[in-house]
Amino acid sequence: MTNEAIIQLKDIDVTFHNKGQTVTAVKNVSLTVNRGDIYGVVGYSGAGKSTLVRVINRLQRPTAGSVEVNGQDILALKPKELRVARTKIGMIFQHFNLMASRTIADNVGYPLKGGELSHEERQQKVAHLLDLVGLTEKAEDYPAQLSGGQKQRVAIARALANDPEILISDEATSALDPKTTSSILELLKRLNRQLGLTVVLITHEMEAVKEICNKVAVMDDGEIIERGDLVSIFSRPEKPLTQDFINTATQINQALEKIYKQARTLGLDDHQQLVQLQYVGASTDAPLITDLYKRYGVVSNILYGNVEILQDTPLGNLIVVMTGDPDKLQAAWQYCQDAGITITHLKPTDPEVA
Amino acid sequence: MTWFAKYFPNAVTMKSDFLQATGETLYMTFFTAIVAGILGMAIGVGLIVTQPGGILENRIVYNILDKIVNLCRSIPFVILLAVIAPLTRLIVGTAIGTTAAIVPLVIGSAPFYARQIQNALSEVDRGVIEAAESVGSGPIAIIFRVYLREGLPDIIRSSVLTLISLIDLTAMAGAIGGGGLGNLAINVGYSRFESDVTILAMLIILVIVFAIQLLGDLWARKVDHTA
Repeated sequence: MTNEAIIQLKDIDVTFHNKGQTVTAVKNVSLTVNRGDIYGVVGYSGAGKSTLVRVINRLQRPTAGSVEVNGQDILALKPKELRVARTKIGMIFQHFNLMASRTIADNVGYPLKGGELSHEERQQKVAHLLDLVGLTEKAEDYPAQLSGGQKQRVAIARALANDPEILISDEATSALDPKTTSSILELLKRLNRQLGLTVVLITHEMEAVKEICNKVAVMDDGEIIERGDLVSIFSRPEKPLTQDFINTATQINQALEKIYKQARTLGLDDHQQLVQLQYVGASTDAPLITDLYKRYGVVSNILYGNVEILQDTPLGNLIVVMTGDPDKLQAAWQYCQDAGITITHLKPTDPEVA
Repeated sequence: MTWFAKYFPNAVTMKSDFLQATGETLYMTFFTAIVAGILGMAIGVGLIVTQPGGILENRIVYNILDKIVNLCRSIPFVILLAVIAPLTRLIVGTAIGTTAAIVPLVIGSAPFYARQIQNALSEVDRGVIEAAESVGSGPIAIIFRVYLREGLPDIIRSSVLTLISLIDLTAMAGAIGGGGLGNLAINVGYSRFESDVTILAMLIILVIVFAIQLLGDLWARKVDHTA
């Protein structure tokens, strides 16, 4: 990862007019992606994330704003120049968009047709690409004979045919089962490392972002509401929507739901508090629970625990019931905060707050 | 052949007439198919690429093509034959005969084929077109390498449909001077009450139609890799 910007979107607006109705899909969005990034753009469907990334290769012309890719002003390009620029921006899609009438090898070789390569060079290139995505033995099959994950691998090989520097993934794993999703994400990460490929990953699943992205932007209603590097977004989300995505990804939401149900029946008194402890990096290793008991006599009953490794940084989450004198509890919380642990007090009556 | 002579007493004496008429029908069908095929294909592709949301969206061109197709398709073929006789005379030199029949046949079938092509190509997944755009394909490449290639099974099926309706039209054109099996069936068989001639002409047409249908289906199945 360098700090050299490869994609720069500035003040992008995209407005659609349809039967007298005006819909603003993207509102004043600026986004910078550096060379070598795997940049995740997360949002629920309809948030405008697909529209935003399609601006990068001008599949969608923005109503306002500027688009710079690899130092080129994409909006100023003539049709022919745009086609050349597009060969350096690969794209993969949710429904793979392979040509049913062509074999796998033909699909992968499609972008090379009409190019400078001779027939033999093209065949070599296709063989190399199929090898890269692990589908050499499927070369003569047709897309209908392949599984979803295999189809997406073919689509990735096709997107890489012209040696692009950027790969845009538009919900590419959304139609796949979790295991296949992981393998496709692994492949993207490998390509990022091996080829220095910059990836822009559009998704509604924070799990996908969690696995491979180094940066993330959260979109809502056409705007980027929060952005930053993965670890800081995961450890200190500011917006409720971001928190919601993260909680779904770390499965805290599901855990909380169960805990709340139980907590209401438990009937916690003022000597007991339900809290969420979140810690990043080194503080994961400290024997915190033991410390709290030794120092303050506070007993922590762990209801849920989870550790995520994000970009080689551990991020831990614990949901505990702490029992002790009110003033001891206060002191214990202070101790946690001093140790760099984020404490959230949970109220069982309000399932929205995490 | 005694069985044949018994049930087709008139037709059996008209071997050369039947051969000639079959030849004429095939001649009209073949040359109309080529001209109307190219014309209809061009208009159909034109409709697809200029339609709203198409790769060369152009409201004016789309509306003009759309109106021409609708207009031509609205005129009953029998009337069309008479109405464009002057045009036929201009192009072929005469308004009567097998070659002259090709002009109205083209005008009668090309718009129908254009609609069929438009329908066939509209089945091509928009996402595939987009994928082609995303790897840098221009309009010409998308038309020839994506639309016509991906739409091929449906194009073949629509071509079969158009060919069969074209044979129907040749019979009609034949009846008013174009020659062919239609002429034989009506002007000989029907007018002279030699109904065995009419029935044999019909049977030959049925054989041609079934042959086209069968070959078309086989070909379409061969190029269709969607399942």
